[in-house]
Amino acid sequence: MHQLIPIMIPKGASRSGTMLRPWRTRGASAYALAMLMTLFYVCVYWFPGVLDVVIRPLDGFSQLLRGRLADQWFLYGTVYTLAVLIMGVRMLRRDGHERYHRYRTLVLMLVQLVAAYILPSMFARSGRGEFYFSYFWPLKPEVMFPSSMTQMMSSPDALTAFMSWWSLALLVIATPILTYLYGKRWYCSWVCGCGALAETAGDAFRHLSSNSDRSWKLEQMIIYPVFAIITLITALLWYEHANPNPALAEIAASANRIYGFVVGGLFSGVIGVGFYPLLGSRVWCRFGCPMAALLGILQKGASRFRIEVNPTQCISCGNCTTYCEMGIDVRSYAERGETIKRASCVGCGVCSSVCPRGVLRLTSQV
Amino acid sequence: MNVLIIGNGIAGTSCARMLRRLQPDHASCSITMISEEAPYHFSRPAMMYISTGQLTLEHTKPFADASWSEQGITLIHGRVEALDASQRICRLDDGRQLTADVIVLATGSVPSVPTHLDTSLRGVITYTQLADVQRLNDVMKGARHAVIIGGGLIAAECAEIFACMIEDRAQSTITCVVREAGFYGNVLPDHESIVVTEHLRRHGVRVLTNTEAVRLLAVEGHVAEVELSDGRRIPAECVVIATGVRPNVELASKAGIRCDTGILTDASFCTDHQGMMAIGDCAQPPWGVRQLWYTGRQHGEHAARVILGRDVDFTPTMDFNSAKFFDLDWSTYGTVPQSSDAANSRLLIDRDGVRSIRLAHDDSGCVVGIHALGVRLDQRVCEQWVSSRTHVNVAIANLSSAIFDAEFTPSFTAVTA
Repeated sequence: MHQLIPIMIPKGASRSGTMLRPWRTRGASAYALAMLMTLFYVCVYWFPGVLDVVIRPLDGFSQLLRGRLADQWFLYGTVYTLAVLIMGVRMLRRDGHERYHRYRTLVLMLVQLVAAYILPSMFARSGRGEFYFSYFWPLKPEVMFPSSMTQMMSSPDALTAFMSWWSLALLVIATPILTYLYGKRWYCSWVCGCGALAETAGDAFRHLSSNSDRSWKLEQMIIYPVFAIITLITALLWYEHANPNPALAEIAASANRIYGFVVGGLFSGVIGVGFYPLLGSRVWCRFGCPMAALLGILQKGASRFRIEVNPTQCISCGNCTTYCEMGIDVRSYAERGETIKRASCVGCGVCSSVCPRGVLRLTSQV
Repeated sequence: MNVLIIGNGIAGTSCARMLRRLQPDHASCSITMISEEAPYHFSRPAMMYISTGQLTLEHTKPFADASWSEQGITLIHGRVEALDASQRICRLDDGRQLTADVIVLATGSVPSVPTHLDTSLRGVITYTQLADVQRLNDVMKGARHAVIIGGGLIAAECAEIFACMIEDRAQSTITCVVREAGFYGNVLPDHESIVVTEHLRRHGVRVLTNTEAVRLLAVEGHVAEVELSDGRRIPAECVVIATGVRPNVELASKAGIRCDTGILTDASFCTDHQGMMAIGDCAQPPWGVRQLWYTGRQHGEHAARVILGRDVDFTPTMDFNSAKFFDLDWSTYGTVPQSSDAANSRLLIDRDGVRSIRLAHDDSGCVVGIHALGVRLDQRVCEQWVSSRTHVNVAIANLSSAIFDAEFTPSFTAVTA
């Protein structure tokens, strides 16, 4: 890899200069960038016609990849994947001298490119739905809805049926086992596409996540209800599927529409990514993602993962807390020599890297 | 009770916080902390990160500003002009007089600058106080030739700052003038010192060893060159003198408190004056001056227990310290003499030639101290080895249990010398 990507020999602290740049410290340029990114999301979700000038040039490429003309989602997927790849190289140059970051970033880039871009396009080309190997319930709830699930599982097409079983297996088997073994990081900072964007394009803004106690409370007040709501909607749909009831079906369908608009559109896209330059890179993952809520519960309750602390070596410099993208006040634990076990920790490992005194170590060893 | 703490560094702050923790009743123990340097406590070792733009001052404050009043700790941002040690009265620069039952001196250190170096020249600074961040920033502006005089931890920090801030400028030079044969050579044994020196060089820092700065040459009041003991002259547009620190005893000695290098105290940090204590960098207890972050914290917390009558004598714990030379971690536990060699220590060098672990031992082969360079170690395991007098062979056999490196880090594999 050293030959392909010139890994920078860090000029000392690899995050130097962060606080000196207006676009990274909520200066006017940060607001401009946030507005631009937000505008892009608004157009993609609700006014795709505006984007026609940039969508049409992709027609040829889309034909090649998917066997159909480009639409706003193809544009979005292409821009998203490019962002992960290009900014992933930046991340590798910056932190790639540490193997944990090198492997993690390469896996994220690869998963995004293959499992979330090329393979879904090929599925589409072969006339199937755009399946994703890397997303499943509750982040992509519709795969577990009775309508699509029953249809897919009984599909004469083996691949379609397999995808349905795959999503189910990821949720029921892989999630609890991998989270027990490695913590939620196996997904949030090694596989997930939202994580991929946060760890690459969002890396420049990770220090903007608020680490106040108030944000922590807010996080708990939002993320678990989001998880509860999507669980309820899914349960309702299955209940209605077993006991058909048109009125109930209508309620569940509209609840799902509202959820899709508020959580899937506004939260994960507009605020989650559009506001990177203002609120940091993990707003969605921290406050809104139902998958993160589920993984967090498992991480807190049934996982070997934790951040170990060298008991008295902390000098309270604040690097760990500042660069925690999840807004965890890591320093408050490090100062007390207390092992860190937090539901929200995505295990990115940056706190340990920026620590100048070797105080922190991520581990899932017994 | 009424406690007045002079200085809000780690020692003073630890004392104030511990006092409040042990005596939560605000009325029965009033705590006042005075600092001239900064209105709120900040982490001094993090100063370099403010200079490199990695952190802001806000990030380096371990406690929220509002928490001080919640804790009932009164903060005064001002200077103590004079101290009456027998009446325990402080006169502040704004004319106020404060009387206390106990006064704790936590005045820290001041730079120890050789007298032949003229610090009044423009472009010449020291780097120990918060105000020095601004000073460094000012002297770095437009400068291409930076010289650091000294080869210790502050010098290493400044080298890193310069590497971040001016190395990209055309034809820039960053030079470290080191008296010893290698960087940090008064603490590190020869091998480690050479490795650190080479590491700094790889990061673009010119390290001149076995030489001293004898004179700063100026043009129109601004430093222009540094003359070395071997006669060489090196260009210098900004100079940081990092030749160590000494206890700040000025206030105490003027007040007639007995001082030597530091403010003399007994094992419970009490000076020769009733109700006057001294802790942290400025104090000189029977075991001598200790000027580390964690000793300041220990002194402060212990003094709080003494003040409340819950403890008497402090027993120094095992030494430990850690730092970073650019991206090269260093940590030490117990005692490793600078003069360590094959007779009294075992040096394990990784196959990469950079990372090393040295286990110093006594005549019977028991581990007395550990140095780790480029490897992070588990403090608990190391301290256990030293305190339980583990044999060096046993420690080496169990080396992997002490490794605290990040996952996927190539395992430390010693090539036997």
